[in-house]
Amino acid sequence: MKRTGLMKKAISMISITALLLASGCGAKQTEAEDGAKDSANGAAQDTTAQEGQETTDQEAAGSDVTIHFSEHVANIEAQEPHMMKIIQAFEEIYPNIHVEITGKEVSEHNTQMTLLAGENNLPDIFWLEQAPAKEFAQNGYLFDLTDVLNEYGINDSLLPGLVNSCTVEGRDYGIPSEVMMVGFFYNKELFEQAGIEKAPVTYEEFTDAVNKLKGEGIVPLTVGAQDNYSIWAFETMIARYGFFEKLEDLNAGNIKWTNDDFIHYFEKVEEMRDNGTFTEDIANIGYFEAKERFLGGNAAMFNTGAWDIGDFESSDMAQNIGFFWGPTFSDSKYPQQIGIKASGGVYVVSAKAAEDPALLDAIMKFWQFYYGEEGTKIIAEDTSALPCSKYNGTIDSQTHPVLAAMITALNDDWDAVTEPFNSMSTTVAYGYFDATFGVMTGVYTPQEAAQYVEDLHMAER
Amino acid sequence: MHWLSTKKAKAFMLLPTLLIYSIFIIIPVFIAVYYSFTEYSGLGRAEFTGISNYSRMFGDKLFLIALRNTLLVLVLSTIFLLVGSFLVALIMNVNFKGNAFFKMIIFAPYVIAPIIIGIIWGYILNPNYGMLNSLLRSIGLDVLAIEWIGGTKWSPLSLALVFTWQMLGFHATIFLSGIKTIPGEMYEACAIDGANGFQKAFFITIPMLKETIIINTVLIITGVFKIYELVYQMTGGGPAHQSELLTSYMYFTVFTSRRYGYGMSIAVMILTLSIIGSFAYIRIVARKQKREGDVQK
Repeated sequence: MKRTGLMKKAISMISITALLLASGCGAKQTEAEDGAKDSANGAAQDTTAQEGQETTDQEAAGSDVTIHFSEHVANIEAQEPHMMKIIQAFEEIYPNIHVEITGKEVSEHNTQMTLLAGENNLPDIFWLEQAPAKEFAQNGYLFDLTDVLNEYGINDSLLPGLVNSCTVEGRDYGIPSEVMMVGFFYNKELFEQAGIEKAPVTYEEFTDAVNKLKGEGIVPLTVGAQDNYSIWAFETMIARYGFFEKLEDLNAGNIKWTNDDFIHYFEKVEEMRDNGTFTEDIANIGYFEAKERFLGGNAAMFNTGAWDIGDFESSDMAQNIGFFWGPTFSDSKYPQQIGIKASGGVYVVSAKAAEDPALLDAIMKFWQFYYGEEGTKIIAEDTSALPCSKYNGTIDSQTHPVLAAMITALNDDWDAVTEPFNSMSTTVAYGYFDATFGVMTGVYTPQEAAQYVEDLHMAER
Repeated sequence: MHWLSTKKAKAFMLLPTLLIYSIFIIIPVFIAVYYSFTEYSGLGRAEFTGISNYSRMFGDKLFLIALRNTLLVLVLSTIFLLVGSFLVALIMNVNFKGNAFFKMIIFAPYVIAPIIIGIIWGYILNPNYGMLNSLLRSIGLDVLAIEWIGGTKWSPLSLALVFTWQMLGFHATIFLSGIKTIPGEMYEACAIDGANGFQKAFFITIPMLKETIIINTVLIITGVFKIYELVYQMTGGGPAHQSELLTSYMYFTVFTSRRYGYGMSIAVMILTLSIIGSFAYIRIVARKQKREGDVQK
């Protein structure tokens, strides 16, 4: 399905800044910010950059500082090329500051950070999911960033919806690492082949699309159950069954996971399974294999998030990838026009690193650069990811078709919600993942799945 | 050199080993036991909760599934490995052209990292595109092309088979070293009496290998309670934890679900079962041997 020339031009002129202002963290917000504020901010960033240059001269005479940075991806160069480029550019401006970055796959990374916390040997800066980040902060392992985020102008650079991404008792402990935007990516060619004219919106349309795809012998949706965290688009679905509206009562024990709405959610997953929506060998593949199948044209849909834009755009089918938020449900009384558009994981600074003023200064200069104009430019233009900070550049939809599609979705009038995962404890969150995959693989009935999560949550209350 | 044989000298020379053993084995065991009585997320202070983790364990369906799977793998692996490695050791003991190559091939899987073995067998056993099912289907044995991994039934069998493949050479080597210690005169005398190969194996080799069988069995029991990588790579414990073994479920509980206290109680349970299993087996065999000795007297 080719875009018209007019459409290409229209999208290419879209300013990322204006669009991303719609995203929010927790609060459902859609309001856009005016251009004047962006201009003012751009000027502020220029000033900051100048200050950075001045300090370079000061540092030339000083000793070298090394920042130890741990990331949550195993292959940083391939999975987060923008980070390597930003570090390289940063080290050119600040030759006395070195950033030593290492990475592990997310679950290994999480394990390692917990173990290192126990040894009081955390890296200087590192990535964390929001729930553990709050727990780390409450136990004194993280540096309170509230003052320095303002002092170094980082809060001014961030998109308004992403400021205060990780707070504990009103204090900031994390800076957003990414715009969390998840849903279904689809192969336009395979949709066309199956006679599907537009991306489905309602559950009925979704089911119809699945039936048409199956009719053409196309695997509708590739999912890898071996990586139980890879369930992002389904989080939007449970949000449409009132997850956030019930959250307080869930935590207090006034509502159970076995409530009718959540049972309906699990029933929908069961119906999808019975209807042959998922990859046949769902239990034998993980997230990466599932992605390979989608990129190989072996499945029509794949549930993932904005972090995969780079992989999609570097694939042969970049021009044929579309995005939609996932099905809405007519049997739910809760808001349906919602999408996860918020802060995902966060970058944090260890309390131990902050004890050294020179190291803390180096760290904050790095974040200042990362979220400043140059860092944001690298993220947006060079590596086609969604930046967390304001940027007034333009995106060529021909060169970055998937990014353009994501920006269009970000800019729609659907309300922004956070990822439910971030509102649960790690134990309950992974319990919810397991329960959903349990229904997908036929291990659990909807009732059993809900009860499984309820048991885990009950033990915590 | 007499001074080397003094108790002080012996104790001094043992000290480094004891020190390392204590730091890396004994002390962590006690730490794990301590945390097993607490509610702990890995951060901050652990809260003492008495035996609640242990009582919770027996109401935890996933723990019971992991326990059932572990016992299944234990029984299957013990049968496969004892029989298989003994037969392989008998073959190794025969002089034939290519014997060294045969030994090398049999022993090779033991030196491959378990995670690599998991990857290899994950591809072979994949029910949809795996080599094994493709082969079975191609020769008309569709009925045997089962869901080796990824389902709720056959994963323990698959894990036992792969564990057997991995450990066969190691246990066969132990058997071989035992066979080599049997005096050749016994076989010669047996041959003069007209015994065939089967009779030699059944009436001389096996009875003479009792100690070796005990060692191998204990090693199999402790080995099964340590299987982690194979599960991680072949099934990921799934679907929905239905193929977890105790060790992999403990890992999930501790590091993914972040329930350190509960996970440590599972770890202590694994250690306890492993010790009980090994000692119970040794005790039973020792009693049996004593009874046989008494009868002969």
